[in-house]
Amino acid sequence: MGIDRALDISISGIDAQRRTMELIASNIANINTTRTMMGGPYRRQVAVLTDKPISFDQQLAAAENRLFGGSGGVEVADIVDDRTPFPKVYNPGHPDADSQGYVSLPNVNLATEMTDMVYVSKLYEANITAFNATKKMMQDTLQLQ
Amino acid sequence: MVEGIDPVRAADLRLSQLLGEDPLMAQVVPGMVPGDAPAAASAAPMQFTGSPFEDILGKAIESLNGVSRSEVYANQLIESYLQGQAELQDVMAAQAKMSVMMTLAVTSVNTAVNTFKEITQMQI
Repeated sequence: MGIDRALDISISGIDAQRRTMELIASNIANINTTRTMMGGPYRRQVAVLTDKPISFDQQLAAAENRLFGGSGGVEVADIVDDRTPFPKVYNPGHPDADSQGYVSLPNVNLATEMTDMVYVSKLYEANITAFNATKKMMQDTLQLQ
Repeated sequence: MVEGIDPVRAADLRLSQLLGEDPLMAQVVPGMVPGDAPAAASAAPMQFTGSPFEDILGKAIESLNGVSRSEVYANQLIESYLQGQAELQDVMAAQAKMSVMMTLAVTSVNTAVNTFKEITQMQI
């Protein structure tokens, strides 16, 4: 209903950024993980985002008003593995070293994760700012006398 | 949200004092039962009396019923958050919406009451 939808869209953005942040935290935590359940070192994980379809009654209301476009917000469509190759480090004493003495390390780059983290936290803030601006608009409407 | 303060009850008390009688009281009571599920506390259908002022006030009080239901919903969300079943942002969003609805309801009741006061002060 009306302006409420803008609030829900902002909340979906907040949720998507929070989930992205979970993946970044997992990537940083596993930066030296050399063995996983799947075998081999940890693979960097990335979230794929998609726009949320508008619900049926919202679409109906939009059609009645001849207003099309927009989305119902954003959501995490999939969590995929980063396919870049693992860097190899010569460390023959390591239990996970191969026959040549090389250890495969996770394809996580700390600098990339840190920049992503700053970006995601700024996006999170941006969604909160949008939410608050919408709420301010609703409160301003109530000033109409 | 503060425990023990029911905004609907407070506003209703104020209104019934202003009106001297409370024909709308019966309509408000079902919505104020604490802990009532949002769906169960659906408001009675609005009856038009033909008296414009009473209708406006009736609508305002109906919106207070809506606030009461969204307050119950926000309270339930807090409980589910404490049990780990709801996300923090959903709880905060429900509270923000409730606060705007509350302001809307109070504004419409106050506008209706102010209009009523102006009519009573009319010099005939």
